[in-house]
Amino acid sequence: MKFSFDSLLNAGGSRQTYGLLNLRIFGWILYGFTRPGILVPSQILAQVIRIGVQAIPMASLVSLSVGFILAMQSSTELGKMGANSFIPDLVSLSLMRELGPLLVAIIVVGRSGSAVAAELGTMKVNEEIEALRVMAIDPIRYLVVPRFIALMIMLPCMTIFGNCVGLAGGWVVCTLDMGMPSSFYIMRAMQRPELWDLYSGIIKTVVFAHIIITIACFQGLNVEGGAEGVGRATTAAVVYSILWIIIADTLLTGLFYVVL
Amino acid sequence: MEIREKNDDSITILILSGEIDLNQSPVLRTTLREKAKAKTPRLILDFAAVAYVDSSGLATLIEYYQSSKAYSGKMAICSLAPRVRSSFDLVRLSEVFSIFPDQAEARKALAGGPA
Amino acid sequence: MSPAPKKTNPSGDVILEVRDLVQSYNGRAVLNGLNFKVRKGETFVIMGGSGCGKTTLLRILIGAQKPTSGSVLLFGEDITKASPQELDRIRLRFGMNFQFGALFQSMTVGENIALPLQEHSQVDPSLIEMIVKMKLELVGLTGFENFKPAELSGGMRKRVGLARALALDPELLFSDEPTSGLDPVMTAVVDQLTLDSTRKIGVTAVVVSHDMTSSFRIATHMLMLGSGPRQGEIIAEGTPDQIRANPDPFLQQFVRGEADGPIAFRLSQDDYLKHLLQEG
Repeated sequence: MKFSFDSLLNAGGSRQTYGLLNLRIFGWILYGFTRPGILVPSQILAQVIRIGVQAIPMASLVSLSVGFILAMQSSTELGKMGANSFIPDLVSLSLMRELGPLLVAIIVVGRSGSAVAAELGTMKVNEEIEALRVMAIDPIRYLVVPRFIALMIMLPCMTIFGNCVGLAGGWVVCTLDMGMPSSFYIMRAMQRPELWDLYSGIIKTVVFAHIIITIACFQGLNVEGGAEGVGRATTAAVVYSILWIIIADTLLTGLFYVVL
Repeated sequence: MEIREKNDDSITILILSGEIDLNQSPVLRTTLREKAKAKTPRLILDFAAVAYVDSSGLATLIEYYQSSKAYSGKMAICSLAPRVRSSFDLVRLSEVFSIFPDQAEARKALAGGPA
Repeated sequence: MSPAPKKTNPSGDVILEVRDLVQSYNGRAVLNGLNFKVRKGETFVIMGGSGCGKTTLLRILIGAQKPTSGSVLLFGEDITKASPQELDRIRLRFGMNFQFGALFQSMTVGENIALPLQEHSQVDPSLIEMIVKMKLELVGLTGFENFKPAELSGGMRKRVGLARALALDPELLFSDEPTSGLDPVMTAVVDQLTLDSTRKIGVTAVVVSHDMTSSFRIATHMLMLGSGPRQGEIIAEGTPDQIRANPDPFLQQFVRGEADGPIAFRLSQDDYLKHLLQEG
């Protein structure tokens, strides 16, 4: 079979390698910009709601707790040095650069990555993927691409939202417990971080989103062996996603640390 | 698919030919929507030269039937080839539409009632 | 998305042709050099016992699996050598009715049937809705548009699967055990639908079945695949009358549904004893 863009879109048949899955997702998205009917807004929106919006309450709760924890833990140590005024800096920097992206990503792995792997895996077991293929509907285009785009959009949004909620958590501790004026907290928390601190966090979330959704889809589409296989794939999706997220986080943090 | 139109005695006759499939049914739909818009009081669809009708063609006919009822227009279908007739029968559309063996009978039936 | 294919068929009235088809797993041939042709308008029933490779054969015929060797010509084009795009173009011309329906669980019955139309035609959504209703009437499920597959019985799901397979009015319909698990009345309904589609509309049907009553009711041509010692070969092929008259003991045991005969389901006394003593 000669190589062409089209053959890339349809390559692989029923078995996918992880690299091929990635290539085909990007192929379909690029192709989708040139032809209508491939990227369907309503399908993407449905996934935005299912794998993004519905995970917001949980992500918010975790971010809020982390805001509390950061402020309380740092106040005991920084207070000894009379450096309580640095607490807002610490809360906002650690949330933006590190904890916000990481924690929201891990919540989304547990909440949405596992759901995608289980859903696609069940479809594979029920011959639904096979049925799509026999109807000449590419499962990557029809099932994977909307989920991919949805998470790539939603994870950064949720992380930014989570950061705000976390900052609010820090604010609660600082104002109520330490008697810090609200204006002071807001000023310090907003002034200290530079735009790059936010960007570095967003870059991380984009990488995390890619890891979560491709691993979940890969595991789901490659399920074999009935209900037991679906369970295995779901576990594998969660374990590998978290593993790769932490590895990627280390590498990216190292990269930003060295470069900047 | 081709559509030829003939008018006489306040009866509009559409003579269809060819195959009405997924690609061709939009052509029929455009024509029938014009007829519905013009509130054509009496319409005969002559299927003598139609070799095949698929579901989208049948749905197009139902759509016209629905809109013609709104202005109490009359509609008749005639000269179905056996295989095409089976397509109607299978989804029980012969119970819905007035189907006649040839154009003359269809005209007689439509001419009878009030305009 | 893609334009509907032209109805070309270079090989005349032969819709499907299988040449020297071999499928082996780990060196064991499940299908061993099959040859047969299906002509336009036929109802071609493929029979065989469990494990004879019926499902494998069907998967190869619809292009879901590449055979070890040999070729499958659908509408005159070899699908074992077709590129994915060519295969998709051919797939628009046939429908596949899966054994357990393979319905999309997340969609309603109506959405399941509408999907192929939405994806492969420019038909207006209001017309698609009517087509869905007609297809449901065809399988005796009028009014079930808004049910989810999980709310239906197994037999109903199968019939929705059939309606979905017929959504694009295919020229060729593949059915995997269309009547297993259906009650006798619904079996007759599905059989009648197959008969009407083939005899009256000119659809060609390839049905995999081990339901003998139903097979003899619908078939114009039958093919029996062997299992056990005769794994992978065609035991008999012909019209229903020829199959009934065929004296092959293997075939007759299957057609009559008898426990005793060349299709062994038990080990011989000696072998059983050996098996017990060795393994125990």
